Amino acid sequence: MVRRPMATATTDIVQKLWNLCTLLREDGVTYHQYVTELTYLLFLKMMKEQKREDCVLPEKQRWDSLVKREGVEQLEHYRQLLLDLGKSKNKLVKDIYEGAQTTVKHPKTLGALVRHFDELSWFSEERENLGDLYEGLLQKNANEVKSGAGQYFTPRPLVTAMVQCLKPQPGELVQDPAAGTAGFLIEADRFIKANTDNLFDLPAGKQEFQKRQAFYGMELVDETRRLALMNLLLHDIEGDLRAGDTLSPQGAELAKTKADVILTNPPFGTKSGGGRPTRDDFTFPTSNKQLAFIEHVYRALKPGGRAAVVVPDNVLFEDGVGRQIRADLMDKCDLHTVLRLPTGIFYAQGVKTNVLFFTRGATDKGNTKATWFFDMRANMPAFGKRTPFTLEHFAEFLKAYGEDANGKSKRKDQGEEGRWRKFTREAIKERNDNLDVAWMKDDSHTDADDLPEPEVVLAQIREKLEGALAAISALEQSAA
Amino acid sequence: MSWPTRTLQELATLVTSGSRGWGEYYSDEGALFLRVGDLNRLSIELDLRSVAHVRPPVGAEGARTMLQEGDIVMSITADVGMVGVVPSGLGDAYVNQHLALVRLKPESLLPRFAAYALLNPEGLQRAVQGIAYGATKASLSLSQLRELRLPVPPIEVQRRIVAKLDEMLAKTRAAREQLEAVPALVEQYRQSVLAAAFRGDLTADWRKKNPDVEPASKLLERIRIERRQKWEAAELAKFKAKGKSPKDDKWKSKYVEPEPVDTSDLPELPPTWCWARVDEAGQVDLGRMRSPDNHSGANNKPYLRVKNVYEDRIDTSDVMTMHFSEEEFDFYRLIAGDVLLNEGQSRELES
Repeated sequence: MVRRPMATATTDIVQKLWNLCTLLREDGVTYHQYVTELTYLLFLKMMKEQKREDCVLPEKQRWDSLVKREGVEQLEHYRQLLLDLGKSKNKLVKDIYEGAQTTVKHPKTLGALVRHFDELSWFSEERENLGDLYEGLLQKNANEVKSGAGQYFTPRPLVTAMVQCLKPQPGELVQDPAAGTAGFLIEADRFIKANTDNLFDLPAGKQEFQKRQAFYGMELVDETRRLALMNLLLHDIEGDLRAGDTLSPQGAELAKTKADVILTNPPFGTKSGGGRPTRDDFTFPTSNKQLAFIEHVYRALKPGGRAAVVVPDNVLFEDGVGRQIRADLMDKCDLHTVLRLPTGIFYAQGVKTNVLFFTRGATDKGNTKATWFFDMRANMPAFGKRTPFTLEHFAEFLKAYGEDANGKSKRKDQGEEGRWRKFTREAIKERNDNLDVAWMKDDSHTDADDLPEPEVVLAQIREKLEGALAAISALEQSAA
Repeated sequence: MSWPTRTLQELATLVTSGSRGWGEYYSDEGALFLRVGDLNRLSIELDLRSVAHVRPPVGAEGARTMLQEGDIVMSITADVGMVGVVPSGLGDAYVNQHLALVRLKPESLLPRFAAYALLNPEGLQRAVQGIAYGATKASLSLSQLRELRLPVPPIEVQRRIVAKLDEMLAKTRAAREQLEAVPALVEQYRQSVLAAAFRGDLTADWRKKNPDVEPASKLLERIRIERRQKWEAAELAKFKAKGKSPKDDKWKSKYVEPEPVDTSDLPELPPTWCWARVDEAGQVDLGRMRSPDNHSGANNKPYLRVKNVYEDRIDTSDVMTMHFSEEEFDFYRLIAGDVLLNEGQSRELES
């Protein structure tokens, strides 16, 4: 394994790729199309550089077959190549290329891309920067609201904060059952590499474990999974990222490989594909996908395993099955920390979210004695395009959370005026197990600079109305 | 439903109300002292967010109104008919004179069932009818309270009714809480849209598609020229009115060109926009003062005052008139497109 210094400034090649991206965007090519195109080409280049072509690709389908050709001939060969690769017998190849189609129209564009990649020195800083470029494109993709790609992308500062809290260790199995573009898995890997001198401190067998087994999960949407696979490969990770629906029996299968650490951000909303959860191993069947994901997570943990899950507000207060699931979670796990996140940090701007931190107990009862709440919502700036959300905003929370990954560091209740407070299990029970806890007074927005964007406010209004309607619907059903 | 009914007298071991005159025992800590504000109409839980504390007097008077788990607490004056049930683990607690305390016989009724039954508008209203309706402060006496009848279904039925009501009222509260947040958000939206409009956000797309639009600075130029011309025309008209005409152009130098805006502290604008002072873009005048000698006269014209001018409309349902001479009227009359700004007086102070 080559020692690689941390990535510094972008190099020439990466800059060229960004410039090309800008040019193509003026032609109507979206970030999504661009990053997908890069994926197709990168994989072939990577196979060559890692000398794996012999096992994986017939000669006609290798990188050099593209480099050798020019102009229209090159473009036509590329198109055919993509079709052939989609039918490959090799699983990884097939996963990346199945259904692949190029959006490149001009031979010149393809020529430029192939040339740039050909000039890339793979075993250098350049490649790490390429990983950054790839992730940068994924982020820009996510910010293009219309693409809907935002639901597969969790903002980086949040991912980093969650990983820093859970502190994944070498040798642990790390799962993301809603992997999206693999942001959590990659950040967990980054954390471990930073603490083991890029895995150098580990014996060869353990390094292999990190590369091939430590990181696994599931992603429903093929196009997204393709990007996730590439993202993982660029970071030297080849874990088992399965295609499938975690809320179906495929998820039950996934849960059988129990994890030491689970980090995940299940998709919000109810429209994402997959239909009603169809697993039969859930004790509490529900059509609320986020609640169903919670059930999956605590089932998929080893005893002593720990998790951090991003959920919207309704998971904290929804009655009926919601309450039952929360009670079950607090029995089987120690739900030690709840972080209430500010609005405006996700693509769906109005959505109100939280992170639940919990550790699966050795027994099944009474594992939660108290839960600590951090309110990062009241009196925060209105995040959005004008006020970016960064890791600095988590500084106070990370300090309060403490060094112990299971939330067992000594903690101090900050009282009514503070953001960090402890609530006993009894106090929560008195609230009918409603975890939608808040105590801080929010100063109303008077300064125009603190006003959220109009879309954010509208989304909040919609959310309130939908919440009220949902309560009314539930009433209609119980009265029926 | 034909369940038997019983009066509270039959069902309870104790029906009493809080002591008067405990004001002197208020303290920052100690036993809880429940008041009407700790109850609400939406549920039978106590709302202890702003509960008061007392150090009660030692002796019988102190012990008489000490609460136990399962006691029902009810408001009997002012806002009659709010009900709460004392939960376990409340600690030492008392009620004030506006609250009644009902302690049920064990095995008679489930406290939560009885509390809900007391909340039932049908049941209570009939009782309240006996009281002076329409009096400023309706109140329920303890003897009236003792005569209230409550249904007594089998315990299982009571349990099921309580469970169902707990669930449904929780959802109603949830709906209400969501809805209550909406008006403030709508107001915030209004402000947000205004802010976005004047940052240029709402027209960013249009500007992208129409990059060759004439920049505002050019428009401002034209306006400045027009402004000067208007002024010159008005000055000439003044001369004419006096039957004179200017000998030279020296009078033109009396014109005061408006100062350009110092943009150093101002927020950035989109490229085709520019800052301008109000008096660069138009003419500002105060309205005509109302005084006793123009209350009425030969030429009464309607005029707008603070009371008529709102943020989103002009309300002409109550318009007054005053006398304007022809010249005055010419000057003060409003034309379409004029912008009105309330610059002083608060609306509530206006007659």
